[in-house]
Amino acid sequence: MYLLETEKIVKTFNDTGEKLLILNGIDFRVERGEMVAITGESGSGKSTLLHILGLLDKPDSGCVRFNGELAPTEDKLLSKFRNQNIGFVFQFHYLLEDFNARENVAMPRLIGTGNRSESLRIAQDLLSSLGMQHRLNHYPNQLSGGEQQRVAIARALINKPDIVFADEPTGNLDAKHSNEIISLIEELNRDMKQTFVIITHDKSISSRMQKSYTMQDGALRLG
Amino acid sequence: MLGVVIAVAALLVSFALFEGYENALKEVILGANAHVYIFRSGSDDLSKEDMRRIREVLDSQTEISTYAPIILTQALAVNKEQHAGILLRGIEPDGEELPTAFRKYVQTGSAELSNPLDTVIGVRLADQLGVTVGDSIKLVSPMRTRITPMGIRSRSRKFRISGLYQSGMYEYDSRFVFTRLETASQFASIGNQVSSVEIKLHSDEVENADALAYEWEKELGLGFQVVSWIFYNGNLFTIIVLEKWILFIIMSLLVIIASFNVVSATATSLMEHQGEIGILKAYGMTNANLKLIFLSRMIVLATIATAVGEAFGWIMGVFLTRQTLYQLKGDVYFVDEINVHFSWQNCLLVFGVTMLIVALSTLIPLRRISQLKVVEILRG
Ligand SMILES: Nc1ncnc2c1ncn2[C@@H]1O[C@H](COP(=O)(O)OP(=O)(O)O)[C@@H](O)[C@H]1O
Ligand SMILES: [Mg+2]
Repeated sequence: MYLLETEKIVKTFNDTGEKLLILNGIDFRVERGEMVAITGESGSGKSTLLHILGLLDKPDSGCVRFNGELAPTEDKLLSKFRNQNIGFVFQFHYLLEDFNARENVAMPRLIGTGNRSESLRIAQDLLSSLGMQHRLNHYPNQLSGGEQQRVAIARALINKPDIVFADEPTGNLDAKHSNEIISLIEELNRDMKQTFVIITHDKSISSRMQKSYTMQDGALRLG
Repeated sequence: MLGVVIAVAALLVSFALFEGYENALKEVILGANAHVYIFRSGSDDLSKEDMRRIREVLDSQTEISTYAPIILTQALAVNKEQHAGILLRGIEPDGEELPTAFRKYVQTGSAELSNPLDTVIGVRLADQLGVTVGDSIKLVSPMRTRITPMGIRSRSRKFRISGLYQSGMYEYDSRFVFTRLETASQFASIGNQVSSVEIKLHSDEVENADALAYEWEKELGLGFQVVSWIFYNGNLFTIIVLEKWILFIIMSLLVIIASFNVVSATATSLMEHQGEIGILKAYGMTNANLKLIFLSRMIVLATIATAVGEAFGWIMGVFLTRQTLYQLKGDVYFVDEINVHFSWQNCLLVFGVTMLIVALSTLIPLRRISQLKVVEILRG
């Protein structure tokens, strides 16, 4: 059974009266422990697909299954499902400016469990294991872009999600930091069997993944 | 939040001023006056026989704190060129506590009317006539004026001023002249009769005065008329209370206007934190919790602003009572001193109203949180 499996996902947008077909029946599968890249031209629909896979948006038709089951449709249950099973990393890290690194990482766990001290403790361990033990109490504006993205990755991992979706996680970083982040993701995949789906238009990154798809004309193609 | 501070200060101080005024007026009117009055029907005086009947009825009433007969007669007070219309009040000076409290208001001289021709007059009347303790004034009774071959003869009498009182109530301080019952009776030539009986109630019965008056009138039977303070002054207080609340509503509008800033500040804050809202939603935070975060932050700010505003209003109120530059016109407002009354209930009321307004001003723009879609935020 696949960890993630989609069936004929179709998504259209209404753009000033004109119907844009962005996703045209996507069938996509990810196995547990895989590390998958999706590339494609800008505007080809990569983010749209990722939002649907991450249950942030709904397709016009088709469905998404996790471990063979449909995700709940009711809003509260869906929020809870995302909280427990899915991690996100975005190009812009969207850390909370008024909270330090440790609190930012703890946040999804705090939302899920309401247990502040436990969340903070786990956040601290997690940040330390990612080599950020000296940045625990720094605020986002005191961190470099690469460090901020490390915090965002730690935040994505804190609830031990089945899968982490990363939308151009290195899009904002220079080559050196970009390489560090990808190495970290590779490490997490290797050591912890963490599943990743990564959107990138950097060929040097997609080539390091086990599988790489290209999005074109509303369809995914391997390679 | 500065607007909220100022609005809260204005709201609190205006409310305190009005309530201070209301209390001062009540204190003077209810403290200095009797609460229930008994007259003979028509314009007759009460005879000895009437008095016996009244005592019979009143002595068994537990609501009464004290009662006493009184003679009221109009007169003209004259000192050299100065004169003023006054109301002579003949009282039993030996009564421990008189229905008409005047003793505690006596500021110079003595409250005791030890000699038959002693009088205690109000400070404003003394000013008007240019007299003080120890001086004498002539009282002329207009009722006893006769035309004789020698011209108009009025009955007049010299009194000695033994004390001055100041109640703060302009009307009283400029009109009442107290003397002994027998003296007043002689002056008005009414023999053994008295004008009325004044009754002071226990303080928790004051608001029942109307019902008690009705009851006692029935009990006394035909020929007596029993009237409560509510009949004379009740309307005044109803109007004051009404005005107080109208003022409160108007001043609350100030807080509402000040809260327009809260609306725009919240809206701006929402814009600035859109990305963070998006990620929190992605990680499963509910709209209700998101709103709570913004709301609680605003409530903390508003609490501080309200506390500062209330402190500021309190200082302003104290200043108003201390200053001497501006005094109320006694003949317009009855009391000439500015009084403020702060109570924790009022502070709480102002606090509650402000919080309610701020909370609503925050929640209105926060409705947008529910409409914000994560994907739209992420797309930028
Ligand atoms: N809400 C929307 N309304 C109209 N068009 C949209 C909307 N969202 C996305 N699109 C369009 O869909 C296409 C795919 O967008 P996106 O998934 O962000 O592409 P990518 O991530 O591959 O760059 C783009 O042409 C974009 O303009
Ligand atoms: Mg994109």
